Amino acid sequence: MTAAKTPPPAAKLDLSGRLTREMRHRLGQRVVVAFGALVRHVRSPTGQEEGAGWAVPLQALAEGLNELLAEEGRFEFTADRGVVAINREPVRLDVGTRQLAELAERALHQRGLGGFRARLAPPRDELRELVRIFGPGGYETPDERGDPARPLKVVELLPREAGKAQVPESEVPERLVQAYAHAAFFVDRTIALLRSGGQSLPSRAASRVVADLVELQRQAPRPFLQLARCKPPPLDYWGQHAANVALLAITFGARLGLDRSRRHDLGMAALLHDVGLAALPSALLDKGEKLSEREMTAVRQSPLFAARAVLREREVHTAALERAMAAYECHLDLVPAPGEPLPEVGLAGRVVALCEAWDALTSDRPHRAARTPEEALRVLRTELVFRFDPLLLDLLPKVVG
Amino acid sequence: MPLSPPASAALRDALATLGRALARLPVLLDTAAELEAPPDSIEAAATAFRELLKLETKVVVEVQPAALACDGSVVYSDPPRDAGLAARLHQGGVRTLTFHRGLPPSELLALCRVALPEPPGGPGRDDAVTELWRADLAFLAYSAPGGYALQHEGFDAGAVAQAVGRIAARARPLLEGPGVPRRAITDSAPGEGQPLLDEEQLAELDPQSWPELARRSSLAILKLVEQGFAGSDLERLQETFWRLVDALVLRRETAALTAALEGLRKLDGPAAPGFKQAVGERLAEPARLQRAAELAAHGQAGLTQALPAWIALLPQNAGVALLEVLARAPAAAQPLLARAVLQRADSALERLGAALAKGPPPVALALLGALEGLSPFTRAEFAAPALQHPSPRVRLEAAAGVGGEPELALQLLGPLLQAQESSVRSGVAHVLSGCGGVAEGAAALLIDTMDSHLFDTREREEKAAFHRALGRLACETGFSFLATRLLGHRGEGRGVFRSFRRPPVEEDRLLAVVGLTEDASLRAARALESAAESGQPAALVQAARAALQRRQAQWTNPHPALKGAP
Repeated sequence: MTAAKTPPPAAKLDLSGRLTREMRHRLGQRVVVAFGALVRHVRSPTGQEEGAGWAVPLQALAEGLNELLAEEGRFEFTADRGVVAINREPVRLDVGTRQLAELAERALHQRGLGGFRARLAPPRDELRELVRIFGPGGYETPDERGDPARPLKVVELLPREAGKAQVPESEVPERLVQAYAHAAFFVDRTIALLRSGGQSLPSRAASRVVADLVELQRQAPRPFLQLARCKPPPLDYWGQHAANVALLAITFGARLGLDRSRRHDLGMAALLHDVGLAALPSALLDKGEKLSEREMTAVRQSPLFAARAVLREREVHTAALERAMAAYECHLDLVPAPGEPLPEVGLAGRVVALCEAWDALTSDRPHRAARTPEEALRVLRTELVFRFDPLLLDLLPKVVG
Repeated sequence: MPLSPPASAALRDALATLGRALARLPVLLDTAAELEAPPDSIEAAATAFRELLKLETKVVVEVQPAALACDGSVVYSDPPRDAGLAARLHQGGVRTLTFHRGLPPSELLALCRVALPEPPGGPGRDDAVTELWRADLAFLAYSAPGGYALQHEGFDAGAVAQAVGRIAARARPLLEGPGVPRRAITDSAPGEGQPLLDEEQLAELDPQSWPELARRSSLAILKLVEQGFAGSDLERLQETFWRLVDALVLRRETAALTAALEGLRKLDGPAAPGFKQAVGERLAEPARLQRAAELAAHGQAGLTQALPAWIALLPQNAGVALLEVLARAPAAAQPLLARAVLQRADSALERLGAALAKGPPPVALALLGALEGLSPFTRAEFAAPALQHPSPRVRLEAAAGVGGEPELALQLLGPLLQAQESSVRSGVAHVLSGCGGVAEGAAALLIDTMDSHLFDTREREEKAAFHRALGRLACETGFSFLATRLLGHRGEGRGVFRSFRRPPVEEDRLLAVVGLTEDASLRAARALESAAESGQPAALVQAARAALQRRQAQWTNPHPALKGAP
């Protein structure tokens, strides 16, 4: 008789020694449920009394916390705007977990807190003290050790993120409009500056605008994307086109799960992707009829001029190179011409290429009318399919809604 | 409200601790590219801030050009004559810093990273405001000059307002028009918060590799230059290209470095020579070459991939710099460097001669090894100084180099037959055996040595080497000498050899057999036959027969390389 084969245990730690994503989710969900249940219980009429309502979730909270401490050497629970993070990694929330997470977040915020952390395993009594802070009789303005009369020894409370000022909701639309208008103006003026022999890109200003756009996308994703539907008149096209591409690219980055720094890179790349047009005469850009072969050659070479405008700044850090390469690579075909090597296009170039084509197709141009979103999608998937990353192309409808 | 005196004192203490931590940080960052956790100095600063923020929930400091101020008084000053924390933040556009209660060490470390001077040759970074924004700090706020600072970048404020107003007027109806739904502005659709890709897919799609970006950027610059699109930016693009190369060297990114340098080597077009020359001159700077050598010495095997392209780009006057690098380079890179030195020999003739005559043996040997492939005369000319080298191995290699030019060999190698080391004497004899064009002269040199008192005291192995060399020359004098030693008369020779210092003993005759075995002539065979037929002494007869058999075998089984030859 042969023994039944047991499946190998699931890998718990990745190569860097950190918990795997799935394991952290499982532990995170356990901690969220346990903490939420304890907060709910402590706020109930009988919650202050010890009993079954305490024992089970307290046990689960202690176990989850201890396991994370054992595996990663630290434990940090934070909740902000519906995102619960354990050790800085967001926890996936299902319907049941979400309610408890929202309850926990509200309770924390009511005490001016954003979360709590520990470097050692806290005793059960300390966890009880922690939970009691959120009850009806809890200390209302706790500092990092909670109630000064009964300070926590191991657990440290984290104030609500104090350095991050959110734009008040009522001001969001105008801030969005202003950031968008500045972005469009920046591109128009940059092209004009380069055309008149300007020697440097005003990239600091662009960086501030894009940083604001990234923050506003996080705060108001729907109006942010809505703004990308603002279409300029054909003769005032390039600045607003670049701003629209930046909005789309930042949204794309957010939906892909890129961090804010990478979204900033995408936004900058998108804003600068057409500055190479400064090398072409205005008459050519606004021409209402089909371009001649010579004119097409000049247009095809303009991405190299965009790269030149960035690379001449003598900056070689990641963000600067990303801008330069995206500006050049977003205009390359992903399928090589016969005998040519496979073009190398980074993520920023791939995202900007798709967003750029989407915005161009859905805009009125001197030589054709704007297409409907459905028609634009069809063109991207058929006539222009060789230009795009198939995975990103598949995701585009989910991004642009 | 102004800070209380205890809070003010705590703030000064916290900032002073932070300043000290900042001063120590470059050393720490130099030894560990990415710190696992904030170092002790940062932890100390965090503790000082914790004490301060027990007294105040938040503290705002103003960033001045060389100081930090709070409530109008300076609470921190940069060290004299040094661009410190305040100067670098101010230069980067930061105007205030706000420290909030709960400030963790990781955020202080992030602040220090932004305020650190950029390492020379590093890739640099965005301005301080953008970098602070990227750091996503929760308990440390900052402020920069108001608005988007477009006017600070040379834009006219009035024009900005007018143009921005026009675009904003077009955009506003999309968010605030009558047809816009009155939903909460920050609402998001279900599922919108969930990323569309998981971690693995994202990592595959976005590897975020700086070396890859640097490689592609350097090739883009070369494309601009090659297609004649660099225009008035040629020098600035050259500088960017150089910075990329420098940063790649600093980061030891050899694959990307090789690609960039290979691309430059193959660069074509009217601007290519100037571009190559400018970069090549910087590649030849002693500090850069030194860096390359150090990397190679630290086991950077990949550097040997980048070296051929690097070296190919060096200018003709880089000989001396290359010689210096050669002395420190790992063995794998030495042949390449040595060839590069010789290709630029005109710029380093004196130093090259010194390196060959008395330089470190590995350097001299690498140089002598690199002579292969050059014309015999050039090779002999370069190798000659190394005949004086203290190392016997170097002298031997040099002798081989000189041997390709027989006339010169005859002039220079004689003294080495009297060298102190047996290996040198035997080796030089062997080299002389290859000087067929001046065989008589070479034989005379050998015989002079072989017929000396001193030669009698040498080991048998050395004597055999000399006899073999003499036999291999297959000349009249050599044969005459060997035949006379073997048979007591001159055999079929023309009698050029006159007399011996002493009559031959049995060992001399046996050594003569060894020598004649190497002489492929018929007369040598006959001399050996005579010895074999003489019947005595037995050892000689046996040796002569063995020699004949070996010769016969050589004829019936010619060397594989000779098979089929006419």
